[in-house]
Amino acid sequence: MTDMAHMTIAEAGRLFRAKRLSSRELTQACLDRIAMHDPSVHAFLEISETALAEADAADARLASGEELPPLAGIPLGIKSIILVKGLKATAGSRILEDYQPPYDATAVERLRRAGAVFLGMTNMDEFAMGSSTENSAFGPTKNPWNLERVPGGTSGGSAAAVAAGFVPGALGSDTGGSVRQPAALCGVVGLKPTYGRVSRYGLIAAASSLDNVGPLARTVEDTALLFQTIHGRDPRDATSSSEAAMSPISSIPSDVNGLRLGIPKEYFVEGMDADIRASVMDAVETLKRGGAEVCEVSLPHAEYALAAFYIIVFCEESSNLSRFDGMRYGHSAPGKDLLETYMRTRGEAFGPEPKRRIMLGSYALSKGYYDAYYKKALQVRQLIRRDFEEAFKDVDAIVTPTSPSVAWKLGEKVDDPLTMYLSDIYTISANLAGIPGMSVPCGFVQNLPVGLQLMGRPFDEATLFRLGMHYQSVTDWHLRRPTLA
Amino acid sequence: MQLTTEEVRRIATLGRLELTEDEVERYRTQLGSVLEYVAKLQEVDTKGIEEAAYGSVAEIAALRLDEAVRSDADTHTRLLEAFPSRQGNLLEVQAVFADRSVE
Repeated sequence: MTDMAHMTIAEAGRLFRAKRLSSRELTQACLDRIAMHDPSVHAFLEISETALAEADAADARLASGEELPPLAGIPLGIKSIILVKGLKATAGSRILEDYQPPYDATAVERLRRAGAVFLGMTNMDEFAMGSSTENSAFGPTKNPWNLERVPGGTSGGSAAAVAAGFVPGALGSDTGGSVRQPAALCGVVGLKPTYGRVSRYGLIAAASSLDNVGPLARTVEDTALLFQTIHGRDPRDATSSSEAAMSPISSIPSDVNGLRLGIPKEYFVEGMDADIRASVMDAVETLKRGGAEVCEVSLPHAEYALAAFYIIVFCEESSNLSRFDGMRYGHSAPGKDLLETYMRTRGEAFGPEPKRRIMLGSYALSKGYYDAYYKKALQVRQLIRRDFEEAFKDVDAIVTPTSPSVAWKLGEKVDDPLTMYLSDIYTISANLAGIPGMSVPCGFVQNLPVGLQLMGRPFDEATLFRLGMHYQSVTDWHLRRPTLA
Repeated sequence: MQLTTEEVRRIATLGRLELTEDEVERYRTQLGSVLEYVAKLQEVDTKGIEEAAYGSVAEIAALRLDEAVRSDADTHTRLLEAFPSRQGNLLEVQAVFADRSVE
């Protein structure tokens, strides 16, 4: 039996259903490891007091002879922006510090029905704004590979928890790379599904046309198991798609023979980190040896993606955050009139990054500026979508690095918002285009993990899983573990 | 590019944010550098290009009947409890219009 701290979901699930490992034993092992190491990592904002009771319930269901799905009895971490009844949903912000959600998010409801155990809520950048988890109002998360480095963000708590062996899987949210980039920086797998694949009901909104709920795990197979459980049409999210469900994971071929991979020439340019480039190109060679064909593709508007992305993000976030008015939930600082209450509540309880973005969004949407900013950005988004449509006529998947650098030092970029934004350069396009993207560990630079990003056609997560599962069957990057003192 | 103090104060008010003097000074430079970066979009010729306003690339059935769905008692209680100010089941909010008859 593998050490319990690094068991995969697939393996733990098999042992659980064979009655060789109880959910209580597994959950207790996770809790013990968190108690010992999370004071130095700070992946969790809250640990559930009912986790062991949920584990006992899964054990009881199994004992009663019930046929249980793959996630039954498996402890998971959930990003603090996804509602889990009974646990605080802080969104990493003082304004929601004590917020108790009234209901479960759809993704959580589906995991609950499958018998998963909710171990706790993970740390994140405030309202999913950032790239390092340093924007959390409750202190940063540290990278388990090097505690002086950031774990990436905004789902840094979820990624660090999986990498540190605290939980075998977690949910995060991805607006511009917030699942994939921390997965890359922490050496785990992270998936941003196709927009509309996973319901956003119960996900606190950041930028609604870009937000996705996505899973993180140590293997591609585990990531696929989580995705399979949470995806599918939900009438409570009007943008949820009625596209047919993904076919069973067991039907995904184990080879990559004949799959066509595209390398976007605009991404592999001079100035790109040479070591990261080498790791990614090694991974491409590995897939080639497995029978994949590789060619160059062009995404002509790549250069404008980041600017378009951030304008859309600022506008949508500033609109979404207007619901925090000091009246309905969260922090409230009453003033002499309504305006003073709004200004005081929001001035006191939002951190610097939400404030910057609320102002940038208010500016871009204000009278006389709309056409030059928001409208322009949406037009460029259309051009970027067309670039991908064109590229996917020739190839089945596009390969890039997930992040332009490995994990950087805490504090290094925190006072320079623009530099922080530039760290999302490879991940934001998938959100603009609405396509799926996945990060898979593909090497190490300075003893820090590197991520390979695979992007696919809309609703074709299965091809990403196929490539990723094949890659992990012939490499062992995903088997390396950080050492926690 | 730097914004003026007045510009920062104006957009902070639009965004309903009370800022300290220090914050105004800091955001002047930070917001300016971001606006300078995103200005590069103006280079792109977008004449006649429709806006991609939605996240979804597939057709979505967004229209449905506008039906009120009753929540369960637990959800109901939790929604009420989230309100910062209330008396029993009565939710307290601030007046939207001032009563000028007494002035």
